[in-house]
Amino acid sequence: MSTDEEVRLRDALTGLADTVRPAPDAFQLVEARWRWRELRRRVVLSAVVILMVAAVTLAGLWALSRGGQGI
Amino acid sequence: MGIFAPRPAHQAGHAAPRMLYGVATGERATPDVRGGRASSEPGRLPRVDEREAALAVLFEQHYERLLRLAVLLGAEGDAEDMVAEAFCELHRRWSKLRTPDAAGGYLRTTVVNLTRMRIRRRQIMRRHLEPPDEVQSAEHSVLLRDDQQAVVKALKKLPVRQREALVLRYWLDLKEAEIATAMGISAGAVKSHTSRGMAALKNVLRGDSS
Repeated sequence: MSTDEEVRLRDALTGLADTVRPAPDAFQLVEARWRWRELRRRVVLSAVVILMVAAVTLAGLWALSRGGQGI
Repeated sequence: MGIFAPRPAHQAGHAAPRMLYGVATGERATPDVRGGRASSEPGRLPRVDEREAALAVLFEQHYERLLRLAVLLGAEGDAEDMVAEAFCELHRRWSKLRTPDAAGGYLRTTVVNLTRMRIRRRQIMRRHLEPPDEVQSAEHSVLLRDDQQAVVKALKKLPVRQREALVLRYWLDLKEAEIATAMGISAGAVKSHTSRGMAALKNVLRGDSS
């Protein structure tokens, strides 16, 4: 059985919730946000992969040049 | 296969054991959540490249309710930002969902957590800066009756966790286990927060009326 305070609380929460209306372009804004983040994530990942490959390649070339000098 | 190619289907069903899930009472999963193409395997997650369509459906089903939840939890002017962040998180972790039905519970949990963190950050900032205008927070309550405004004002004075427990219990009508999942605490802690919150609310309302 609900007490008076519980009834008042439910009524106030429902009343406050009913005043909230989403913006008409809410979906477009949210969609643009997650798409931008996905693009940024992929760009950052690509940059990291490219840097790692470049670093490994340079390290290999350096090692080969050191080995050539040692002969 | 480059990093821009969609993930293979066999990776779509991989589950992360640390995710918190829950399905609210009354939130039923519909077959449309699976995305644009119908799946021949029940319970199979839609592929990552179908997540855009699935997220659009989830947005239509849950956004308004989540926005209202954020406002009730005290997000005020940040409510739209909180819910947008929740959908972005879902988009990022889509492949880690155990089932499509878990998306609603995941969104609710994320909104609760983000709102709590934002409120705490705001409280810390307010201790060090001048208090902001109350215009934004008064936007929603101006349409309420006097007795409703008194309850909302009393609710704002409660600690964050007690307010969360009361809103999830008395507005979303969630069960204790579901509230515990959404808040990331035990069922016993939920009972404690709910009873203390209600007792504090009664004291504030009686104090204001006397």
